[in-house]
Amino acid sequence: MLKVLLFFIFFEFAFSLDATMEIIKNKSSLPTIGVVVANNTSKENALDTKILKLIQKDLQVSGHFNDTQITIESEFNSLPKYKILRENGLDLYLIFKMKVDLNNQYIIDTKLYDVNKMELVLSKAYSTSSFERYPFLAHKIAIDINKYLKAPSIEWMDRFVIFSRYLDSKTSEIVIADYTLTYQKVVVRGGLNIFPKWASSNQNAFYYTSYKGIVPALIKKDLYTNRSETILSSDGMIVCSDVSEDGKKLVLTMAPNSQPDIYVYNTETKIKNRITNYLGIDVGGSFVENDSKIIFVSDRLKYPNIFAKKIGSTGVERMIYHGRNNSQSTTSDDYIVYSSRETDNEFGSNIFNLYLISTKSDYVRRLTTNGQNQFPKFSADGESLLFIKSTDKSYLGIIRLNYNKSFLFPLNAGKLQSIDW
Amino acid sequence: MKSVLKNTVLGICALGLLAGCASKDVEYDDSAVTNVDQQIDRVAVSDDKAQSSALNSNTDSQYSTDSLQKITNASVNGVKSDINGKVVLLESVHFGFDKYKLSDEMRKIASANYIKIDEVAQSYEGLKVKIEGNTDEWGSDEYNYALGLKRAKAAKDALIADGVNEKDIVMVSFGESNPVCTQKNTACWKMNRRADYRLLP
Repeated sequence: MLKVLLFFIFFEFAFSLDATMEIIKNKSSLPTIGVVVANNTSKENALDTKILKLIQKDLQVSGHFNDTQITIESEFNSLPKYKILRENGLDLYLIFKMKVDLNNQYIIDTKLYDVNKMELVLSKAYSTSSFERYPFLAHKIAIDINKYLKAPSIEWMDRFVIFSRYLDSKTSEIVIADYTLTYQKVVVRGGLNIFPKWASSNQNAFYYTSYKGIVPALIKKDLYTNRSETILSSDGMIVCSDVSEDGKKLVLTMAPNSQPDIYVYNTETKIKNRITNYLGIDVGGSFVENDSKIIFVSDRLKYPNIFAKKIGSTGVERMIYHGRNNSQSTTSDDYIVYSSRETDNEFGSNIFNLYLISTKSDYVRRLTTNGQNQFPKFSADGESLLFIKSTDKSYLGIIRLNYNKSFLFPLNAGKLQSIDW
Repeated sequence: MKSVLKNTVLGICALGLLAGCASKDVEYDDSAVTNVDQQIDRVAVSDDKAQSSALNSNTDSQYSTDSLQKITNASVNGVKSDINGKVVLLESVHFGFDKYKLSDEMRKIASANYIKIDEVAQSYEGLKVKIEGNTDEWGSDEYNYALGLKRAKAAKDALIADGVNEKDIVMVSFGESNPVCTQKNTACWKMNRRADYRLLP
């Protein structure tokens, strides 16, 4: 009898597990989710509609869901009409309501239902004291739904991106934002401030180039204490193009003798080590292979192309063998993404596109098809790519590499100069 | 009797376990509200005054990219510097696409600038020349800052060759951040590929 009982318990448990895992296992049949706003919700600032759209966008960008637009009148505390939801092809159903409490806190209550199992599976609340921060409410909700399904992490959606934008001639400001550019906060303004770069993965501080002094200077600014520190200055130009994993080493482009070259700077010893020694242009270096090698852009073939050099050695290796103008690269493990000029007529419509290559094979993949696509940046997990697209205006682009999907978010003020995440 | 009771108890326990399994996947978190403010509240802003008007505006009108669509006639041909009331126009030198070498024609302009600089320097001790390298908007921005610097250096080398002391020359590159025009056409891009000369009192 006991054996029968144990077998029955095991069978029930195993069936429940399989039902959940089956949802995400098969990429050709993604779960379909519908998101609705409850009837009895606050309409203040039309926040409910804004949050709805952002959650839907986040789920779409994740690549882990099919989302569908549904219109269902429903009270937050009522049981869902499962029959109607199934007829609409839903596997998951999220309903949320918003309220503003006596302390002026915006609170979002959420309930996630598994339509197939006809069960409430997740119930959570989220809050903020400021209306402008609502994007992060939406991102957190999408992340939690994704996490519940045990799908690959999309925690990056909750992180800041940092960018500089030109506002006018020789004038730019540095801004932190959410990845959709819906939330924005200026952190450096006044004069020309460019090439912001996170100092570490915890996003507590960032480096940028300031033109406030007589010569350009590399500044490190703490996001939370507002303290600034001048790291280095250099006649002509200075840019931090990469930071090592431990945050202790920087790849810089400097021109102390009016000659732009790549340097590695140790923030602890304050020693800079010159990596390139070519009389033309060497810029845009980034660490690869456990910081033992640098990938960089050089015009030593009389046009910009991507090269690699082992730190401490003299030899330089060419990395790209196609295209006549390849600039700006980003690296992740054995992969490089770079921006390439497509046509000989540089003023044509199909101008700069992004390519992904492997350093270990002949694999090449074109990632964009039109416009001016620049400044590619791999995410920390290497699964997504951030870039800047310029057509009639500036866009922040996200490419989800494993899902072959690309998304654009417009910048409505100014022109994107550079970006990091 | 005992075995019936035992089986009944086991059955009830089994039912209880199964009921627990059905609700095991549900995460109830009513008491713990996830607040998104903490990370953002800690961010300090250097200027406590009004936010940038680019952010305050809910429309595209004030600082849209259209606002950059203008010609600044002041520096189309060169830069005027005022040294103690004496206004000197130093003509900009221009470069080919992705190039940083002075053509013969541009070399003549550079030499003409040297003559003007030398004339002012005769009556103004400590005069310095600032050369600003610029590019059009094509290509990566970091590469363009380096390209602008190489153009500034080409102009600097020409001045040194003509007789200016190297210590009296300062260089900077503005890359593509300092256009004299923003129209999307060949003529405008050509105007932006330049090095400007500026006298510093």
